[in-house]
Amino acid sequence: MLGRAADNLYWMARNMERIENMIRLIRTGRTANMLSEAGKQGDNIWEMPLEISGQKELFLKDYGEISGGRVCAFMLSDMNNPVSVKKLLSNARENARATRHFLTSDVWECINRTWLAVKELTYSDIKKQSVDDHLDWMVDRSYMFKGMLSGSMRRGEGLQFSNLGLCVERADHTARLLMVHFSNAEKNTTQMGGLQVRDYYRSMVILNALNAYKAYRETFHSSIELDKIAELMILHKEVPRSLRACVDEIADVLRALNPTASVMKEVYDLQYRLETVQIAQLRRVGLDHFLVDFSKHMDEISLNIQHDFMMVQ
Amino acid sequence: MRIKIRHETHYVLEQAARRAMQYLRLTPRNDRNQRVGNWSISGPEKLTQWLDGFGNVVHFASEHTDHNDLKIVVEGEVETKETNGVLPLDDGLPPGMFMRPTPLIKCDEVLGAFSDELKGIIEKDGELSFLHALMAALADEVTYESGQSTVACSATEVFERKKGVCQDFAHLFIAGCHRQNIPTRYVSGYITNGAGDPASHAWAESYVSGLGWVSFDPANRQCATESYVRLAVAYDYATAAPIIGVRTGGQGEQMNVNVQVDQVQVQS
Amino acid sequence: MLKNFFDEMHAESGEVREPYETYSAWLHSTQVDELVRCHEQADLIFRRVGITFNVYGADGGVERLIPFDIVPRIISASEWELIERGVIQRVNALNAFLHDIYHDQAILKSGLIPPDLILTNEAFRPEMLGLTLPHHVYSHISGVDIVRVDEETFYVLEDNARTPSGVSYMLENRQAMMRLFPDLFAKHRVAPVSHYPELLLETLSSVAPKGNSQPTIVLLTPGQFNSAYFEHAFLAQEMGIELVEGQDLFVDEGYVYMRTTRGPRRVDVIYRRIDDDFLDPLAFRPDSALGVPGLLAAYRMGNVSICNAVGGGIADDKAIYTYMPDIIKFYLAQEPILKNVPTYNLRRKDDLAYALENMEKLVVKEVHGSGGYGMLVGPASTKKQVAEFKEKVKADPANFIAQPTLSLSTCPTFVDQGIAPRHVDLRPFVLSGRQTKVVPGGLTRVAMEKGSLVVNSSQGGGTKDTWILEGANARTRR
Repeated sequence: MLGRAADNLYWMARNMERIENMIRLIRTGRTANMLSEAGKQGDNIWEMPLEISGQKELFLKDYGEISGGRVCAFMLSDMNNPVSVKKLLSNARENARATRHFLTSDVWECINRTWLAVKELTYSDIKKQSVDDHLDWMVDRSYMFKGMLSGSMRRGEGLQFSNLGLCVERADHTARLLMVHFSNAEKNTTQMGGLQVRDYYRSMVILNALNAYKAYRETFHSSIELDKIAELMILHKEVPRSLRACVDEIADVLRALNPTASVMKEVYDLQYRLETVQIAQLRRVGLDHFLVDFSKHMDEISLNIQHDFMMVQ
Repeated sequence: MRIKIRHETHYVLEQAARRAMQYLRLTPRNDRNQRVGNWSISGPEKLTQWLDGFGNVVHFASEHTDHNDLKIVVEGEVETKETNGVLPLDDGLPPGMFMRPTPLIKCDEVLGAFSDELKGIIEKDGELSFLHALMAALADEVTYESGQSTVACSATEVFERKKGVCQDFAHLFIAGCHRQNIPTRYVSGYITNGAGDPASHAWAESYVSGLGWVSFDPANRQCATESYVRLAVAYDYATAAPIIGVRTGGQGEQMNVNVQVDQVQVQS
Repeated sequence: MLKNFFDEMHAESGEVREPYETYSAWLHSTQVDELVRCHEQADLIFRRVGITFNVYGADGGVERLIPFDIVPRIISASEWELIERGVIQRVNALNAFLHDIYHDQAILKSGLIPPDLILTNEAFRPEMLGLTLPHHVYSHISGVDIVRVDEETFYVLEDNARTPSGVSYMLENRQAMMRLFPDLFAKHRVAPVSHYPELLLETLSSVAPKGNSQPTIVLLTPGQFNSAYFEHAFLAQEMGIELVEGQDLFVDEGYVYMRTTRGPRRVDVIYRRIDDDFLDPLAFRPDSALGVPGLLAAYRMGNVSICNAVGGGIADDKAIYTYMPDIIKFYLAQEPILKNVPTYNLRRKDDLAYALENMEKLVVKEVHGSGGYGMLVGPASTKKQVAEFKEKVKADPANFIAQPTLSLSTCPTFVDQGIAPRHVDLRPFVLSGRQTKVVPGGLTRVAMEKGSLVVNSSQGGGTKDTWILEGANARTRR
C-alpha cells in the first residue's frame, strides 16, 4: 500500500475517533449541567472540552464568556475551530476521499452521508431539532463507521492502518482527559479519597465521557474515588478506553503490520511499563507527571509510525 | 586539437537539503567534429546516463540523504577537428524543428526590425552572408558584460538592455535568424579561448541548405573553430542547460564554478 | 419538437425510430410522477456515491454533480458497427501518425502535411524523438467525440488523444439505470459495458516495458482537487491498482518506484491523468510540483511506460485535425469511415477571410483549447460577442479554426417541462495496446439548455446512459 494512502487512512480514523470523543464530552457536559446545581460550582464544566481540545484561547477570543450553548456551538459547528466536529468531519472525509479506492463503498458512503447531513447545519439548526438527538445521532454514526470498518473491510493493511488511527487517538484522548482532570483535582483536594461534592460530579463526567461508568461499578463495587478512576483508566486492560487497552491494541496492530519495524521497541517499552507499574507508585511521583510522560511517548510512537510505514517526506 | 577539460560546480547550502535531483548535460556529444575520450562525472550520490531527444548525453543525478553541499566534477579529454564551423546534417534532427519560438528566443518587433535591416543581403549574397552580417551587427550592438542578465532573460529583454553574456548573444542570434525563416539552434559547450570567463560557453548554429549546420558565435564574432567543444544542442538555454535541478528543503544556496579548458600539447 | 434537427427517437415523419420502439412504448405508459421520482432517486444515488466533478473558479473548486438524464441514448447494432469500425480506424491511423512523426517523418517528406505545422507546434515534443514505444502505441486511451446530423451521417469532432475523461460516467450511469429501471433492461438487449476496467487493465499491461507480463501499474493523479478526481479513484479501484500522486513516486538509477508501507516498489506502467507539462519538473515546467523528477530519464531508457504517451497531443491538435482524412489514407490505405467536419484553417488567408465574413454562422475554436473554453458558437452569440471574437481571431489567426455550426442530433431528455429534445454528442472510448478495442457504449453528453449546442460538463452539460442494442434485437432497416 502507498505510504500516503496509509497516512490518510490513519488520519481518517483518528479524525473520526476524535469526533466521537468530542461528542461524548459535550454530551456528558450537558447531562452534568442538568444533574445538579452542585455540578456548576467551582470550575465551569464547559471549560473541559476547551482545555482538552487546546482551543480555549481561540474560544475566548471569538466568543468571550464561557457558557454551555457557546461551547456547544464552537465545538460542534464552527468551521474556524480546527477541531470542531464539523471541521474534523470535513477532514475525515477529505482523508477518505483521497483513499476512496481502499475503502469499501459502505465505509465511504457512511462518512460521505454523515458529512452531507452536517455540512450545512448551523448550531441554531441543531438547536431547533434538539441538541441531544443530534449528539445521539452522531454517536450512532460513529459506531456505524466503526462497524462498517471492521465488518466490511478486507483484513489487510487498509483496515490495520485505520485501526491504528482509532487506538492511537483513543489513547491520546484518554490521557488528555485524565491530565486535565487530575491537574485540577490535585490542586483542590488535600487528601485522596476524600472527594468534595464538585469533584464527585467532575469524576462522573470523566467516567461518562470515557464510557466507563459501568466498568467502574463492576470493577470496584464501591463509591467513586479519584485514584480508582486513575487505576481503571490507566491500568485495566479490559476497559476499552484505558491507556493499557489502547497500547495493547497498538502493539497488536503494529506487530501484524511488521514485527520488525523500529517503532516496536518504543511500543513494547510502553506496554511493559503499563503492565508492571502500580497506581500507588504513580501517585507518589504525581499522576500528571506520568500522564505528560505518556503523551510524549505516544507522540514519538506516532512520529515513528509515520517514519516506518508512511515514508512521509 | 586535444582539449583537456575540468569543470567543477560546487553548491553550498546554509540549511541542508533533504534530497536533490538534477539533469546534467555535461558530456560532450559524439559529433563529426569531436571525439570524446576518458570522460568522467563524479560527485553526486547516484548517476544514471541517458540520451535526450536531441541526442544529448544526459545524466540523472540524485542525492537521497541530507546534504549541505554538492560537488559535481566532470573531466576528460576531447579531440576536436577543424571543420570551418560547418557540420553535416546527419544527427537525425530535422532543421525545421529549430524554428520554434520558445519564450527565450521569441522575436518581437524591435528585434525583428533589427534583423530585417539586413535581410536584403539574403537576396543579394545569400543566407551565409546574412548570417555573418547578423553576427557582426549583434556583436556591434550588444556589449558583452556579465552580471547584467540571468539565464531566464529572453532575447527581447536582453536586446532592450543591450548587455549580456554568451547565452544572450546566442538567443539574440537565433531570434534574428528565425525572423528570416532560417532554422537556428542553441549550442552549449566549452571554448579554450574566448570572451569573458574562460570555458563554459554557448553559441548558435544555423541551417544553410546545401551546406549543413553552420556555427556562429556572436559573443566572439567568429564561427566555431577547433577550440570549441560541443556539449548539447537544443532550442535554447532552458532545453540545453548544463545543470538543471530540484531539491527538497535547503536554503541559502551559493554556487562556485571552476572550469579549466586547456589545449594539450602533443609530444611527438 | 425542434425542427431541422435529426432526432434520435422520432423520424421526420413523426414515426418512432426503430431502436427506440420498445422504449417509446414504455415511456408512453409511464406516469410523469414516476419519472420525477426516478429522476430524484438518480440524483440521490449519485450524491451518495459521491460521483462529483470539481468546478474551477469561484471558491477554488466546488464539488458538483453532473446532471444525469434518465432517458437513455439508444443506438442500434448496425449504427454501432459503423461507429466502432470508424473510431478504431481513426485511432490506428493516429498511432501510426504519431510513431511516424517521432521517427522517420515520412508524412512530412511526402508533402501531405506542411512540416512547420508539426515541427514548430508546441504539442510536438522533441523529448519523444527516436523513442520507440511498445507496439508503437501512443494514444492508449482515446475518447473520440462524435456527433450525428442525420440518419446516415456521423462526424468526428475531436479525437482527444491526451487524457480523455468521462469513462466513469459511462460506467456509473449504467449502474444507476440498472438500479432505476430493471424492467427496461429486461425488455432490451443492451450490450454490457462493465468490463471496461478489465480491458483497460489488459491494455495497460500489454504495453509494459520489455514485455514484462506481471507489470506493476499505477494511476497518476494531480490529486483530489482535480476536476476528474472521482474518476481517477474510481478507475484505480476498479482495476485494483494504486492511485498515486507525484510525491508518491521517485526515480532511482533509471527506474521508477513508489513509496509503500513496505518500502519502495518498482513501477512499470503509469496511467497518467496529468498533462505532459507536469510530468517531470526537470524536463518540462520547472515550477510543477505534481510531477516526478527524473521520470523522463526512466521513460527514455525504456524502463517505464507512460499512458497516454508523452507528445500524443500533437495528434489531437485542432490544426492537425483538418488532415485526418489524409492521415488515414496515408497510413492505412483506406477511405475514412467517419467524416471530418469541414474545417477552415484560419492560418490560410482565404479561410480567414471567409471566417471573418461569416463568423455569426460558424463555430470558432482555439487550436489548443479544450473543454469548451475559448470557443465561440456564432449563432448562439450576440453581435457584440461576435465582434469581440473577430478581434481575437485577427490578432492571431493561426491560433484558430472555424467550422460550420453542425445540426447536432437531439434526443428526448427529461427537463423541468417534461420530456423535450436536447442536443447530444457521443464519446466512445477506444483502447489501444496489443490490439485496438472499443467497449460497446460511450458517454453521451447532452446540452441541458434548450437550443444549446455546447455539451461540455464544464459548461453545464449533462450525461445520459448510452445503450448499444445487441444484434438480434435490432433488425436493420436497410
